[in-house]
Amino acid sequence: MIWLTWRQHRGQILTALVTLLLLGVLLFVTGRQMRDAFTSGGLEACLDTLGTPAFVPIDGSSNCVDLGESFAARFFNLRLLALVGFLVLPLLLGMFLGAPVVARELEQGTHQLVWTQGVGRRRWAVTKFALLALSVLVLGSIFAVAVDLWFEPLNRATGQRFTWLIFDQQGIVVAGYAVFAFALGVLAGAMTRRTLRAMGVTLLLFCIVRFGVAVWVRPELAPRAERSYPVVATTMPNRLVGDWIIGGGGPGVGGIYDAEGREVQGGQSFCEPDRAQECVDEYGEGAMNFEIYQPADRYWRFQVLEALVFAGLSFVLLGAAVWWIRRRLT
Amino acid sequence: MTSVLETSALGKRYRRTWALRDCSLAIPRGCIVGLVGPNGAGKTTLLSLAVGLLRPTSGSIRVLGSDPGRDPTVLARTGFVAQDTPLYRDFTADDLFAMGRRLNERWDDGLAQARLARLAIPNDRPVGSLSGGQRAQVALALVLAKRPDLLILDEPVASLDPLARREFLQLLMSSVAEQGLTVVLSSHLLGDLERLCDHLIVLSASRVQVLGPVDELLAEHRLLVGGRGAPEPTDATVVRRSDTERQTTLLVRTSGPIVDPRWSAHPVSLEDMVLAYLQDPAAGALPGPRPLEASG
Repeated sequence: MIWLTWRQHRGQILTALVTLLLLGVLLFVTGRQMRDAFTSGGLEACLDTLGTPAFVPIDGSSNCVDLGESFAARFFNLRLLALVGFLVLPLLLGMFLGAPVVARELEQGTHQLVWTQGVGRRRWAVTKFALLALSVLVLGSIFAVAVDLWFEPLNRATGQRFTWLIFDQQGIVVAGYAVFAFALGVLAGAMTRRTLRAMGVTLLLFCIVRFGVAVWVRPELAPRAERSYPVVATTMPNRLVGDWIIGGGGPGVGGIYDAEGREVQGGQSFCEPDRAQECVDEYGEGAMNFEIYQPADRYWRFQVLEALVFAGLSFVLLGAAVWWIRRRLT
Repeated sequence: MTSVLETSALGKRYRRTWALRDCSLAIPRGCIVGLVGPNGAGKTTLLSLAVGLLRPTSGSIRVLGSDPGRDPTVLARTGFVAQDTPLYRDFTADDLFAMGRRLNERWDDGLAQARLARLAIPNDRPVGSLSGGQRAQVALALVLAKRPDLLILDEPVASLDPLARREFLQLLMSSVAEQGLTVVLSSHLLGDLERLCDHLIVLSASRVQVLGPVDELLAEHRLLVGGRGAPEPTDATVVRRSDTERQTTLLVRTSGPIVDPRWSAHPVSLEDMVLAYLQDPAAGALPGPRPLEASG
């Protein structure tokens, strides 16, 4: 079975590898460009000096935000391009390897050949799915490592690694998404019996599930942290640490509160002590900014948890595919 | 005598339509069974049930003593070539044999290679680039190398030209003689079956219509010619009747000689007999000529 799986799918796996290699070259070239700019523009030195304090002076004298912003702006187009590519590639990888696994056998009638050999259908399915899922996992992980290296200067420059859509492009969740797309493709292929239809179904369901998990499940993976800090202050939270600010306004999700703890309005505001009166006029004496967030040091915990969510889903889908092949394709 | 394949009230339904129903038969070891019937009669369904690709909706099927849908060891002992001989088209014959070796406990690589060498079929080219006849031969070599006890072939020669067809069937028969296996073969081509098979199953409208050893079936059936309006003989079952202005022709099934002097009896060919049954699915369908064996 191992030999057969390799013989049947080596073309796809090698194609994926070559594509990854080409992509790797692309990432290496653009990544080095970014790294050079990161170092030569003084941003790296600034961030190294800054360290990772929770609060930084509001006056901008040492918080590297301006340097970070101009760095991010310089690579805006590249980031946009990467966003599309990095979000779509794990889906494509899984879908192209997964959808044909069963569907193509059914389309070409070769299931009649392979399911009448001396190995049972269950062993055929389990071995094949396991080996290919593992291949997707390995390919996805290679991709994830390359992307992580590429993203490093950007992550440090913007502090946005934990936020929506940026989180989704890097780390081990990427491998999880690829395996999930694979499992979805396998099951859809077994159920629709057509490779192309299976790809369509995979595309649709993948987007729905990914969206649902990102919006409704991810923020609940750990209890949210809260903090408040005065409106009239010389320091503000260090945005480059990489916290995920979930709530900046609205009831229960943070905003500006007066001294009695009533919400005045959403968002945040700061006044340095020499202009304190402006803030006092607007929000009253002793107003506080209140925010709900996930601290930056939980990033890997979230990555692991979300990857596990998708690993679990993949396991269930592949199990369902084995069941379907044994019970329903008869 | 032990049955290699045995079904009892076997039925298969797809959604609302029955593809096969009430099929009870037993195939003894060592015989070559021809399975005929019009398109959609249930031939492929019956054969797919026999190799576990389909599971019965009702009744039961046993192949080599166990249920082919549950017991993969039965599949290792069964050689199956599906309609249009599906093979992985980008595999070479060597690749396919490597697959067979790995997926089956019994495997005779020498036999597979020798067959291809004898036919001068290249074993290092993708089978997709071979001719239809060569592909069918590769498929046959692939199942024969399993050293099966039972060989099931679904329309193996349907897509082949006459020469390739004859070559294929000759080689099939010589291997059958060498290996002493049981064969179930479906075909539209009654002429082929007449030469090859010693047993016959006629399926029509998803039911078994005729079942029995070919020589007995031929001995039991007679073509009777008599004057128009002559009363039908009482000691024979009329399968089919055709009238012209002057005479009446009957195809009858009988256990003894026809004694009625108003009828002259002639032997019937297998093809005429089968066609007579197929033209009238109701004729003699139930009960058909007695089953190969009383099935339990």
